[in-house]
Amino acid sequence: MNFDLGPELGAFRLEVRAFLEDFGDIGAFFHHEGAYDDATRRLYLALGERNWLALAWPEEVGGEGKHPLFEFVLWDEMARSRAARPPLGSGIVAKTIIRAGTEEQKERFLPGLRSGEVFFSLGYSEPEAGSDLAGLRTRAVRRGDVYVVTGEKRWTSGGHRADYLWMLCRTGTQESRGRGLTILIVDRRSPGITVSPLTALSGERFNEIFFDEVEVPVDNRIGDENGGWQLIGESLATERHVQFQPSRVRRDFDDLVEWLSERGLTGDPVVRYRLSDLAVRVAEVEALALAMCEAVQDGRDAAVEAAANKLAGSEVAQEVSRLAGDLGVPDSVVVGSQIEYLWRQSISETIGGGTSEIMRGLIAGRGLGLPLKG
Amino acid sequence: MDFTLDSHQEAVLEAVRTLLSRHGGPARLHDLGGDEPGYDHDLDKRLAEAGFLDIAEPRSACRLDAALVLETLSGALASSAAGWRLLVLPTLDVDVEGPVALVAESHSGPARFAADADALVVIGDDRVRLVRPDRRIPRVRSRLGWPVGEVSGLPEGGVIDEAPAAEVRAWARVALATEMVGAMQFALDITVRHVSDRRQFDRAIGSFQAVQHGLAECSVAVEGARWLALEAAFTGAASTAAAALTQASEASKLIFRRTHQYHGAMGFTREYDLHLSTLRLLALRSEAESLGRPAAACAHEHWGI
Ligand SMILES: Cc1cc2nc3c(=O)[nH]c(=O)nc-3n(C[C@H](O)[C@H](O)[C@H](O)COP(=O)(O)OP(=O)(O)OC[C@H]3O[C@@H](n4cnc5c(N)ncnc54)[C@H](O)[C@@H]3O)c2cc1C
Repeated sequence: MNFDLGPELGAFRLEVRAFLEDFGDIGAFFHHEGAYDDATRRLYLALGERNWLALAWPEEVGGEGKHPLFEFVLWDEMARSRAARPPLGSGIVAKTIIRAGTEEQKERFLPGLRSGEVFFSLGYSEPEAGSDLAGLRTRAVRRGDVYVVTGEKRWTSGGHRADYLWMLCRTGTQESRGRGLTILIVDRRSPGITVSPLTALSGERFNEIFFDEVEVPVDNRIGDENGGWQLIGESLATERHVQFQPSRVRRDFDDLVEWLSERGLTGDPVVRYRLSDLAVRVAEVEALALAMCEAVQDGRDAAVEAAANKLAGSEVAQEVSRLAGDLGVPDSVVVGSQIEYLWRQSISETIGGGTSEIMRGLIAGRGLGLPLKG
Repeated sequence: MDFTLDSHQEAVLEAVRTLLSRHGGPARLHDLGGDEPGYDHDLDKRLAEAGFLDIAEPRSACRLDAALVLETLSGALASSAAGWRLLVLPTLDVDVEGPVALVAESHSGPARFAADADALVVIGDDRVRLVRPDRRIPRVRSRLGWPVGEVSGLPEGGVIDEAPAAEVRAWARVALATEMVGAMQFALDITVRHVSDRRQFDRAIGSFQAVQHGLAECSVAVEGARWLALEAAFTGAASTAAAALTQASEASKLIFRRTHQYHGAMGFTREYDLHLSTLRLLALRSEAESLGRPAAACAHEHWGI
């Protein structure tokens, strides 16, 4: 047994840290009000220049052909410095196109994704379809060489500034559930699309996106008609190692300790006791992340390990962010205090990207082999 | 023993609820600024005119009726300092017209209602002061559902003769516990409605046993906090007050986690009402701690530790 990621990844981690020094406090890991600005764009373009958005893509499509754990290290460091989150475009979108797209689609979409110039949003969830994604209703009807899309997507992060929407649409009957879904790439500026804002408690902007007979070229379909469900399942599997970054929790914890010591509170025995409990949980999160990395390194299906990583990581992130409030530190209630921001923001971590209940279900079913029905 | 309301209490609460149905509730809080609200002077005026704010007799030992009114106000998300008036002022022989804020002598920093208050009740170790600030206390931005002011360098003086600091502190704890109960009940009710209506996987999400068990635990925690808070208001005992606040504080953490979780993304939006109650719980807990750690107070009151 060996608990080290190895010298090559260690060296890469240092390289990423050095790279990030030039970018200071962008803070786009959390989508504060107005945080997605020119600085964030510059960061993605700089990543593109180094070809770090294509670290694990195969070389024949312009990638670096590295092991996925390089991506883990990159985004883990980005989380530690709170610079940015892994973009959907160079992850799920690009990897699915590489696996299932046509040559023409690869040529059309991959260069912009690799360079960090093109931005995608994820159009999966709908008012009636959250945890139960296979129940989604946004309909795509084939008419000649276009699909006509009608329906509503919700909670679309970044949907108002995206170039494209990566959409899952219903092409089969409602009863066909997962067997009747198709992936379409929709140009966000197409006629018939209306984007309206919803404000998250973190200040982040979500969107509701309405589609009124939006025409989408058949050439923008990825994979087969009604083959979308399998593709998104496979794409989740290729992104498990960047689903939740343990260094986010480490950073939050370090900041909390510093914040409490600046206020002269770390001598208090109750504070010390709570902090030491939390320190153990943070260590647990890091250990579970390593276990997930090991499965990925081995090329095993890391579904259960990744679910454990996300479950523990997101819950501990909440515990860390809630401690100051639990201790009753008065500044923890004021807008502008980092601690108060984390407290609000972390509410969403056990919901977005699959809720804790769905993670627990996966661990119980696939990890422990428990039956669904007696 | 009798845990049901008598006819007088029924009538009072019915009248308060009627008033709140017109002048309170989440819609009113949204109008006042949502999670960053102004103070509801209009509501205070109406409550005062109807006689609901001086329901407890001065120096009375039992303030159960006042606590029931406060629980109702909090359950309707009133942006009002009525809690201090209803439960704390009866201990103090003072005359204040408008809103009062309440802080510990050692406190400096954000305090609920401080920017809107005509006077501050300042609780020290063995004395209580009534401070009428000579200039308005500045408002500070907080998004936790209460109007908040930034308290620093309060003027000296204003010591209230023979005011029992320990008793005032105990009533402040009863008030905070009662307010927490109201806010928790709001969060629980809206969550029960949501999981009954929201369907995923062709069934109400409230039919999942994981969700049912989670909410059943919440319900027990809120009920426990409620009866403890009302018992403390009934007896006025400092030990019960400390226990009530400790229990309510602990319960509020559970309620926060679970009610947000079972709402999914919906509960994470400012357009929806859940956060108006849950974010308030953080501010109340923080205030509870500033009066002296409730669990330590509980041990002290019970066993002299
Ligand atoms: C910050 C954030 C960003 C997001 N960005 C995007 C985006 O860009 N694009 C996009 O498509 N979506 C996005 N989402 C939506 C996200 O995918 C959904 O919120 C998530 O899938 C859960 O769906 P829901 O919110 O409808 O909750 P629901 O499915 O209604 O679930 C609510 C709660 O019910 C309970 N529950 C549900 N099913 C079960 C079960 N089987 N067993 C036990 N309990 C259960 C759980 O407690 C769950 O938390 C985002 C969400 C958040 C919070």
